[in-house]
Amino acid sequence: MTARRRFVIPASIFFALFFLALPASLALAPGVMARAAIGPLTLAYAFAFAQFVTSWVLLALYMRAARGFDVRARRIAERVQTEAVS
Amino acid sequence: MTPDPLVVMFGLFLAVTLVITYWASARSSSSRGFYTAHREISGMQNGWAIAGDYMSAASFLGITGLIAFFGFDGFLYAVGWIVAYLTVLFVLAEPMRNVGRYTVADVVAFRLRGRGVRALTAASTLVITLLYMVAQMVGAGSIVNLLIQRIDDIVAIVLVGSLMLVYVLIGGMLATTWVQIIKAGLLLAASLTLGVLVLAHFGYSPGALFDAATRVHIGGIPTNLLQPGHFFKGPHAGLDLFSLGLALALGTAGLPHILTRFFTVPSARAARTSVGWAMALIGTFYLLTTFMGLGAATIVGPAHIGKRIDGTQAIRYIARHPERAQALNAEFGKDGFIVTHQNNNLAAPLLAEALGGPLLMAFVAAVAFATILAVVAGLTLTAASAFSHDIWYSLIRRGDVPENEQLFVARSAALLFGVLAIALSMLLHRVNVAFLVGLAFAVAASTNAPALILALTWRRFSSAGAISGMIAGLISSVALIAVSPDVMHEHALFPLRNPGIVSIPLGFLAAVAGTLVARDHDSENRFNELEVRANTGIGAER
Repeated sequence: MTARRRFVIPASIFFALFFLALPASLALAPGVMARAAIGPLTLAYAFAFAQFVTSWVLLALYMRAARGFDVRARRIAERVQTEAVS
Repeated sequence: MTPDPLVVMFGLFLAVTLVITYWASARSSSSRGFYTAHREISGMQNGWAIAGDYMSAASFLGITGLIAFFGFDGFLYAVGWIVAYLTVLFVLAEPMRNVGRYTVADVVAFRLRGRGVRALTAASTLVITLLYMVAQMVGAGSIVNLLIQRIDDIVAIVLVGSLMLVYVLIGGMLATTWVQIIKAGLLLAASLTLGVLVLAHFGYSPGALFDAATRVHIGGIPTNLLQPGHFFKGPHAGLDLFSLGLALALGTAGLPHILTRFFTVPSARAARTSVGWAMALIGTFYLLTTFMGLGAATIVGPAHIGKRIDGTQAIRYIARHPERAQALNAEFGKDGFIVTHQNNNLAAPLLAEALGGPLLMAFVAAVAFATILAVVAGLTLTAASAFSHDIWYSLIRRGDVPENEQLFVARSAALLFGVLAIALSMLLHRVNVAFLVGLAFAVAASTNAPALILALTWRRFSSAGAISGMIAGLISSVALIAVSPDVMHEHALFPLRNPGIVSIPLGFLAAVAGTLVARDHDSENRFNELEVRANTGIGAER
């Protein structure tokens, strides 16, 4: 459970801040966000696409970390079962 | 006479799904089968079904339409909706699977005993599903209006409603899940086809598409759709954006028809896998909405997206509007029809017609129908389980209910809810469906989301906290919508279109305040049990 928390809490803080940065920057600096960044693509659009990439990256990281949580959970479940039997 | 391709394609979808419903009916004769398909859906299947539940007609027609008319601001919805899944993945999916049985209220009430908590969670579930459902039905009406002039939108709403009831009443969760899976596949196929055709139109150069999107004529004014600020504008645009972002990102964590899907899988691991599949599919789909939306704006043009009339009807319409006769006559002469009311919900089907002719339009329209049908089926099932399991079984009869009575109540609740939603949808026309869904998200983010997240993560959280939080969230979100510019227009008492920025913090704060005022040691003790069960699956429903 602690291992799980050690991943989930920082990851949640990161994505919350990264996501809210999009509406925040649109609100505070609309002029900058409307500027073309990559070819005709505006900074706002590029930032929005980046949100998809980070979501997928966090998904992949979590899936990998979670395999470790599964092993621990199974061990605990087995221990509880053997204790219940004995 | 050759058969209408739309009727043929939709008929095929119906035939396949009705066979599945018949097959599923034998396996839905117990309440466990009816609500959760015996928890035998695999992670991958459930992922496709979640994607099917989530990629609603509101996303497909609504987001494509908003991007076609307002560019970047429409795409913001898509960003919020994909990021939202991280909350579901990190905090909810696996514990929901292990702690809950049939409904969202099961999870909240696991450690927060007391009838009030369950009653309120069930009530907010019903409000959210009803709002969401009306959005879908309005979408159904608006495309039928365009595509099959023989059938008017009232008939279409009744048709969709009755078919959906057949799936739910006979086939339960198993049939509903398979309808979602098939529909998710069809919707992705349609979106990919449209996305590729749009790119092909621009010589497979995204740059050329984006370039064209910088000069789209809207109301005669050249507009850069890649720039923000075409939908959210005015003095409160910044706050409105923030408010919407919050509602979208937390709303998914409170959407009952998505959350109940986690009860259909055999293990926490499968719950996680299903979120993985769902995020991959949903992300791909939302990226495609940009290509479809900008494609509709550049290839079809916002001025041509709307309800069309032709022949003598058009001539009569022009005669009634002499002030615009010249422009209308020119349009009529060129296209053979005129657009009387712009309607951005029609962007996707009209883009399909422009790129692939009537056959592709028929396919896209049939997919849109299938989408609406599948999503309303999922919503109705969720509402039915909230009523029969939470309100009837747990609160009124206090758990003493024979199996066949449970099923009878669940089916009756589905029927009643379906009829109520059909009636409400007939009353509310011509509202952008993505906007209506946005409201459902605001309510979900302000009520269910705080209660669920705190119940699963905060040891001290108490029943009093859950009750005060949900009441504050529900009342503030509904009340702020009622006095918002979209309802009261220029007399609005609240300047923002989305209540999230006020109602979500209010929901959380009231939950914390209620907890601090009234401590609940039982709930704190049961939190240990909850944590073990949530993380290891010990004691979870099989």
